[in-house]
Amino acid sequence: MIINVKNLTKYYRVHQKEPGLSGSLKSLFNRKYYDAKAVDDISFSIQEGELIGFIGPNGAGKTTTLKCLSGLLYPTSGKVEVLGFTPFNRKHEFLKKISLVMGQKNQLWWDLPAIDSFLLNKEIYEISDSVYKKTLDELVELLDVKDILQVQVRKLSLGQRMKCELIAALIHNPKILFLDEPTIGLDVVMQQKLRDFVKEYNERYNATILLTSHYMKDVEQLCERIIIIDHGKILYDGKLEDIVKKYVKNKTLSVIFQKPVEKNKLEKLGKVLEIDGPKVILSVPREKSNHVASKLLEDFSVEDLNIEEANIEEIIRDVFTKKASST
Amino acid sequence: MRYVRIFSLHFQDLLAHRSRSIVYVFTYVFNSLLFLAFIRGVFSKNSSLGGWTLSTVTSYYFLLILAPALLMTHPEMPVLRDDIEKGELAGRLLKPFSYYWQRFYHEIPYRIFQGLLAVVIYFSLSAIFGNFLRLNLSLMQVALIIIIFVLAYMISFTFKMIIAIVAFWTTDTRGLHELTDVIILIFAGFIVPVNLLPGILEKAAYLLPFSYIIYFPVIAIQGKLSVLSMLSVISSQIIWLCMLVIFFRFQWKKALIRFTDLGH
Repeated sequence: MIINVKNLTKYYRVHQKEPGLSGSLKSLFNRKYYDAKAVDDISFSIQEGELIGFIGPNGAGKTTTLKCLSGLLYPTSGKVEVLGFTPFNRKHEFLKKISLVMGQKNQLWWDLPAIDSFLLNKEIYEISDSVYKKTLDELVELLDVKDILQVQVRKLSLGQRMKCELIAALIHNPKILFLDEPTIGLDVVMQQKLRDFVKEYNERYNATILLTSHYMKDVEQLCERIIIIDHGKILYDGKLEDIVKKYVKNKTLSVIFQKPVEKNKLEKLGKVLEIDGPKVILSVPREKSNHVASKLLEDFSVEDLNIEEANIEEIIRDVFTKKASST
Repeated sequence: MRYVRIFSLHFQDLLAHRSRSIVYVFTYVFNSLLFLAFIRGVFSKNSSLGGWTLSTVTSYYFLLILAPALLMTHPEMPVLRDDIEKGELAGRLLKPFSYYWQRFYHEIPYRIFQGLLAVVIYFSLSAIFGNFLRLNLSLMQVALIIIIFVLAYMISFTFKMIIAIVAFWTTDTRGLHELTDVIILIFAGFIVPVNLLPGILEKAAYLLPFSYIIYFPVIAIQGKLSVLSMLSVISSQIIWLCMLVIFFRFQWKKALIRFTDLGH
């Protein structure tokens, strides 16, 4: 295992002020604090080369987990081991093997071309000239940014800047990449380009990648395994496809008959969710969906039939609202 | 060579917004000339005061343009503005290069660039008003002056880094920066040379590190310090630097445990 997390807990001490002027005056003399549980006793392990999606609503604890894994935050309790190191000790050998990219932050020099920031990282990470050139060439080709390397960073578009941020973060060939909302604020075309790049980088370098994102497409397209986290606790850790099997017991069949069909005939096959003339939507147990579909085709004159899997975004929303079990 | 290249890249960054440095140097010029104007009034009634004459005190204030440009470091500004407020600290902490030295390499090009500008201004003023500095220094004194300047720089930088990372405890440290600037203004010898400060302030100035950042380096150039006195100044500087470094390291460890990066 390349990452091992056992009973990780991270609390933030947060100042609480009563509203109004009296609250402000009171807090001058008697400041009240409470411990906000950002991450609450979570455990998981990750193997080399995995590409994992961390999913959760705002304030769920995704970014805090990434920050604890990268060594940025000191855990309140629990054990974290990444590449055999304790991240918070921030040994230089450890830092040379990881990278954390936060979508809303930049590390590039604003007034200089991005290439100068890459050169600075080359020196900081003590990369030899030949390795630097090879890695830079590969990344520039993958991200298609050859023409903008000499342009002042402040003159670049958000998407171009994000690409350059990725190069700066990857120029030292990290074994583990922590991506926190890498596609935030980007248009759909640029989002897709970044997804393609992350996938390609993972496959080409066998890099372990942990990704958080609000965009389900990022996770659906990139991650085989997901960890769903809410209120600091892990709700689900497993394959993305398994979440559908675990939480969604039924499939939806949308049928258009050549002429209207009696409801009671359909109810023998499944639960009728909607009926509108010849258009019918049925909910059937997922293991029986194929059988029901062939029965419909045999017994009725069907114009069109679709077997639909539940939308992944809806399933995850249901997991958060704990409605999944009643689906 | 690695460090030279890191320095060179930071110097390029500085050159991208050089006008800021030019403005800063002019604040030293106006401050210094203003204080000189006041003190010349004092010397119009006294030919000598506390070992200072009109000529030596004028050269002192001219050198007060050069010394702070070279030695008054300001890492606290980018630490607050960029690292704390913009949240760039997270990225810096994950670099395999200590935060102290990252900030050091960011700061030093500013001192060199502003120092060079100050040298030009110093010689321009000397050409206009006359050269009041009579350099009669031995090779040994020159070597010791260089050491005094290097140590002064390190004291200044480490002290300001300590002030900068107070931001881990109180979010807005601007007030603290201004208070520090006022204290330095008095005790480093910006208003009047330290030995002209009234009784208790003079004693306090010798006990605090600030006179070792500006006052002693300036009077060392003026040739007011013997080799023995310079060695004594260097000893005090080393003691101050060690104390500040130890305090910084202690404070930094505490700060990192407190660090939350919330809201970023």
